[in-house]
Amino acid sequence: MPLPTPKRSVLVVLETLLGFESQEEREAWIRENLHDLPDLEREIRNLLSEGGSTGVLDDLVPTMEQLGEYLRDLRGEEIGPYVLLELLGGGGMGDVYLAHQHSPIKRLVAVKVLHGDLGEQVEIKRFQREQQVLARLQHPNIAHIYDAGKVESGYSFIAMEYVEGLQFHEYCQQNALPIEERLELFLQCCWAIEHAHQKGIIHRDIKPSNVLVTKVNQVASIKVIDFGIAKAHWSDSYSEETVRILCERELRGECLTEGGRSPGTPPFMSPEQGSLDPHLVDTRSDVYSLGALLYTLLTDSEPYHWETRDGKSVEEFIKTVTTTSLELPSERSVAWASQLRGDLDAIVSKAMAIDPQGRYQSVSELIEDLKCYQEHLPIRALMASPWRRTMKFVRRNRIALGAGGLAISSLLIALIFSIYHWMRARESEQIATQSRVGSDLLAGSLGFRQGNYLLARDQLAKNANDSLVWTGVGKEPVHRLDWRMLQSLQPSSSQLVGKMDGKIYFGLSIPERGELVAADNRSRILFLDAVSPGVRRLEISAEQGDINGLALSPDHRLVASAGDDGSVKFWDVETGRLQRTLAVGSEHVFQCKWSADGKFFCTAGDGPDLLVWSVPEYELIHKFPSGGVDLECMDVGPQGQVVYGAASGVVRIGSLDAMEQPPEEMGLTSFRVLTVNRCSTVCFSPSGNLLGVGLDNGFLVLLRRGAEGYRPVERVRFPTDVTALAFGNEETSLAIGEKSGALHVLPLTAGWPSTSRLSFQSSYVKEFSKQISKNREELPSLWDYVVDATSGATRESVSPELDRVELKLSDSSLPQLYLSDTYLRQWYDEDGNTRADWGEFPESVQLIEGGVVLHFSSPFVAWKDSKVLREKQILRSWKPHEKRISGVFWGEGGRSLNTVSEDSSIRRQELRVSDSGLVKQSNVDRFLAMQNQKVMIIGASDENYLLRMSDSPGTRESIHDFGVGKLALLFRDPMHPELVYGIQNRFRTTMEVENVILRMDCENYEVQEVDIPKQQGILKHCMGVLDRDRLLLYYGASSASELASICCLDMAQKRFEWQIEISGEKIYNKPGSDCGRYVSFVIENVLYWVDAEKRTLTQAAAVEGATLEACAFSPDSQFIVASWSDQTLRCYRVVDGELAWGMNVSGQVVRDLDWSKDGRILVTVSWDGMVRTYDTQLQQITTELLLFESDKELNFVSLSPEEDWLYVGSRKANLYRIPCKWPR
Amino acid sequence: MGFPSGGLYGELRALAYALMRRENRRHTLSPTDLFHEAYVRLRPRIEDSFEELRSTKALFIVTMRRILIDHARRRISREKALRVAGLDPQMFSDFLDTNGGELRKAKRILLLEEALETFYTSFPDHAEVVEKRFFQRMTIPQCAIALGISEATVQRRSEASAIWLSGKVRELEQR
Repeated sequence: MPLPTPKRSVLVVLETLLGFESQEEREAWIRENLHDLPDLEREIRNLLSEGGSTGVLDDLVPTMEQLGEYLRDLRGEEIGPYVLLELLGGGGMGDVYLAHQHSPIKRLVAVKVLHGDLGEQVEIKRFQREQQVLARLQHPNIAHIYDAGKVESGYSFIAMEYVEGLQFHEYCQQNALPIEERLELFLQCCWAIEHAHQKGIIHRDIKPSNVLVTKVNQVASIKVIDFGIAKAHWSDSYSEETVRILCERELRGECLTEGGRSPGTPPFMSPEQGSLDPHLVDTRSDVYSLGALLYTLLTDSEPYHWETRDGKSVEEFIKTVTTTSLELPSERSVAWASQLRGDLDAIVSKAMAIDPQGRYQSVSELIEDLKCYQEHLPIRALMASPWRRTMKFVRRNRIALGAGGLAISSLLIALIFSIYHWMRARESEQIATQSRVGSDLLAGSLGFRQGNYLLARDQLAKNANDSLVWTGVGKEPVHRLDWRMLQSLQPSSSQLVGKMDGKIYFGLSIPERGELVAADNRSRILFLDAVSPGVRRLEISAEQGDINGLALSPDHRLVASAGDDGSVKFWDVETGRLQRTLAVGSEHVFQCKWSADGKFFCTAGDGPDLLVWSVPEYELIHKFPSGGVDLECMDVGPQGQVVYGAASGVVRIGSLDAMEQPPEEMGLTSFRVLTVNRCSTVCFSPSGNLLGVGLDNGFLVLLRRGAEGYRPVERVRFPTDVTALAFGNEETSLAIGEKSGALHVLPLTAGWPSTSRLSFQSSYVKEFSKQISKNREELPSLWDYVVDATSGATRESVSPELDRVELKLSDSSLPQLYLSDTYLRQWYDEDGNTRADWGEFPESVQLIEGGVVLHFSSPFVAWKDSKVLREKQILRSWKPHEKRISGVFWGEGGRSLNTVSEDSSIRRQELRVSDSGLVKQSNVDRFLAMQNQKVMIIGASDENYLLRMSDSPGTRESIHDFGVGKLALLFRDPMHPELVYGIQNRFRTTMEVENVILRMDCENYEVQEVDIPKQQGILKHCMGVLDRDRLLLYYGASSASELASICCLDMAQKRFEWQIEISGEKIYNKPGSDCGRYVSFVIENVLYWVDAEKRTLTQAAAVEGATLEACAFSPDSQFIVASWSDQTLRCYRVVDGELAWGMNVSGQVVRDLDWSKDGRILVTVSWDGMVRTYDTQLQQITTELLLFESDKELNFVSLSPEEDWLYVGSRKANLYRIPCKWPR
Repeated sequence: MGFPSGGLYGELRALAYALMRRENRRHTLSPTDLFHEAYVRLRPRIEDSFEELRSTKALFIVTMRRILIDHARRRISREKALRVAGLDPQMFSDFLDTNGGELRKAKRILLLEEALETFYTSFPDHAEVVEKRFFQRMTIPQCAIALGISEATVQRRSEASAIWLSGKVRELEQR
């Protein structure tokens, strides 16, 4: 064998040696061949002595799986100044690593490395520009973007603040946080998103894994991460095609990482995001995602189940989302169902509405609602359409009923009885209409619950005149639900006293003259009688453009008008002559007013500052500062207080007495009511003790004067902007005009508004977020840090109102501080919760020796629990105007209210004496429909009304007010439906209660008293109508020795035809039969009925331990069915009172029932809110329908004679009209 | 044998990355699959820029080796960075694994690369076998067919190469 070259020889030798079987053979070969090559021999022996290991290749050369891991694993990679250390998580666009930045400063950051093929496609410059936009995000709840770019090795990256914390939802679960704390944190998240939206940045990927909770000084704090990453990618730096591909890939979950992480995005992605059209996505898409996040937090489960392994395509998933109804949080949650029901359900549903139009239109709206929820104020979501809820009803009913082979093809609105046919809701359009209507109805109903009658009415009226009437199986339109609201039916209402041509912007009243002055945008000023319609005294053409404000001099001799031409003109009240013109200087003058002592005249306009003029010289003597903001409204109080409100929501209160003082001693106080809202009106009470502030978000804030000046004490929310206020003379009531034209009277009874409920925040400033903003360009990257009260800075001094904060900075932090305007004031209460207001920026920041002083424009107002407000009833509500009410004035010693409105009308509302108290919860307990439903009588507690309803639903007319006296019962004459009878208590001169029978002819609505001949005993009840001329009356015993009796009165003959004596005192009327022959009643819990022909009394066997709730004769008068409190319906034969059958009912005790005309179906209502039908032949329940969750106590039910309507009344004064259809 | 310069290598790596990411739910990607995918996608570029590479397979092998080296280097620099950042590498579990830890393995990978450099120039025939057996994970019969040599030769050469490389790595380690 030739000797190989030295190098080569090693391998050749090795190969040869490997060919031998045994160690001895190898030894022999080595001795024989290598004895003269000691180096090679040593080398070979060396190699073999290691056991001939081939391990290194198997060990070090990776398998494909390992290779894949190596590819993904970038730990240790150096990207720019960052060394990646640890994988924190993965997302659609790339993996996020904990990284160490080594220059220019050393710190830990989070670096997102874009997936290779994405990074490749991003144009570096454009990419960086996007990141600069993101760098504008400076918010304590947003993880900051420090840097972004692309390195030579091809990686694109984004460096962010490293947040050490848990994912939001994990944190909540681990700490078993209650709802309140979850909401508190969620609000921080909302603020962050809102901040971004204000900067024009959409997050697009809000989900639990992108919201972290970190601890700052032991206080949990939210950090939203991954901000706008998607935006950076999906913006116009890509072609539409690329965006589409990215979206698709994202949706398919391809960009998602492994490791048991749930694919995050689709359940949190708004439907429009799923549509793959990036142009549809706007800030409302984030609102949806926030809603989904909130859903997850509240229910501990994601709203939709999404699993790529299901093999569902994105389109299918989105379809599922858009077509199925999501369970409400309260239905999903096991632990918190009762807490979530209602407001939180509504908030989540509104945020997650499929149609962006149906959502909160901005995050701030969502925040506002959550704040309102926290403070137990009415929320916006319930003023709009939680349509899913309605859909829920549909589904629930379908499941419940479809399974039984019978069905209702409708929801709470159109109740269509169908035993044999399953009528399918055919078109999605129908479903949409139904849902919309249903949601309006729901909102309306909730309006009732909240005592917000106008809201209820508005919502419900929408449907009344809706031309998009849903049609059922047949072609004829089916009106869904008619409703009546007693409060709006009160006969005393609004009266038109005058009209102008233009929009009336302001008005005032001259009580001594009984006059009203109104001014419009056509420069007209009208003096008219406040009470009598159409009586005008003066009309002035002021020639000063739109007239915005009016004022009356204290001596009542001059009226001042403030015009758009920047002038104030003074008019003689008597003659209407122009006395003087004052050029104010600002472009437009909005309001003007004299001080009570007549020494000063104040004006406010669209320039800053409240101007004070001397009287009578009318020289400018003082300016109350507004901080450079235009003023919206002002008022001067009786003791020279001035209040003025600006567009920024800041209200300032000063005093004319203190004008001479230097500004810092003027005692000018100001407060911000809500950071974002405009003040639209301010008004002092006559005594000056109260101050009302109306805001354009519907809030009315009441302030009370105390030792420390005016302090906010209460707030009430109205559906639309509060635009006009007037305190009653006694300060017992406050009239409030709304932008919608609605008018309310709010009682200010003793103790309310109380000072105890609200207090100024006594906590302290704990945290400031500070950003270096100077020379941003020169800095290699942006960073922020937190200066807090314990480490970087010490809180040297804080003014009592917390509007001036001085921070001492430690030496180490000082060099890094720059003057900046981005300190954020956040507030904590005593318990350390961020329980307070929106974060707020200071008006000015001042560097001082060793520290910094922050000036905030306003002290901080915190609202404590205002739960009581929810129950607070508004005394009266009207809607006299179609447009904004621009002025409201008390007249006639508090007995009437005058209003002026932008709808050009001037009206007068008369208040009734009974309005001095709160409205009682009315109880609809009597009801009658007749004459093709054109006439109905409603009894509600002690007030009774006769209404006429026209064929078009929603319109009605009150015909007769039976007054406050008790209308014991109403009967219709079955033979002559145009007649209605009632009994009414009357107090006669003897001071004894005497009852009269009223008879009303519904053709002409004349009410007569029925002439009754003298009869022994006391007329207690009218028990029924036998025929046109005969009434059945019940006379109670006048003495112990006598028996009570039932008498038949022949009205034509004016005599009693017959009478039956009965024993027992407590008698309750029950209905009569349709044929008029039988009348039923209950005495001592025994059911009796009178046969008017045979003049006999029949009784049904009493049921031990049960009381009778309701009864009804069958249409053929053969049977009477009674509901007993043992949840049994018992049917008796009318002839002999024998029990024909008994049937247990489901749910609660039947409160009222009615038969169908064919006698087959019984309709019942009960206090579980359910309307049920029973088949009397099958003896089983056939239909079940929940009318309203919020209005469960259903009191009566009645089928119209034509059986096309079902009327249901509730204890909450709601009357529902439900269309129904029986099987043919 | 040189490595392709940044651009194309980056692209190939990104491609491999994307492919791996997409496929690793199923773990079915074979080297051949990856190669085919890469080949189809990159062919136009490869023909222009890498004439010196005899086949795209070679490019692929190079890529694989490059991934390996990169990974090893990252491991080493990460360990350093953790110390600089004041973090305890012991806190990160993969430094604690039994056979000397990830760090030692990473260092050995770099040494292996060094050994391979010598090996490729000194023993081109053996290098072919190593490439196919270890990097492409071919079986012995597959190698025999691909290289037109006997299975016994493949067996012998690969074993000898492995022993030699192991020895070299040890030697470099003790350096």
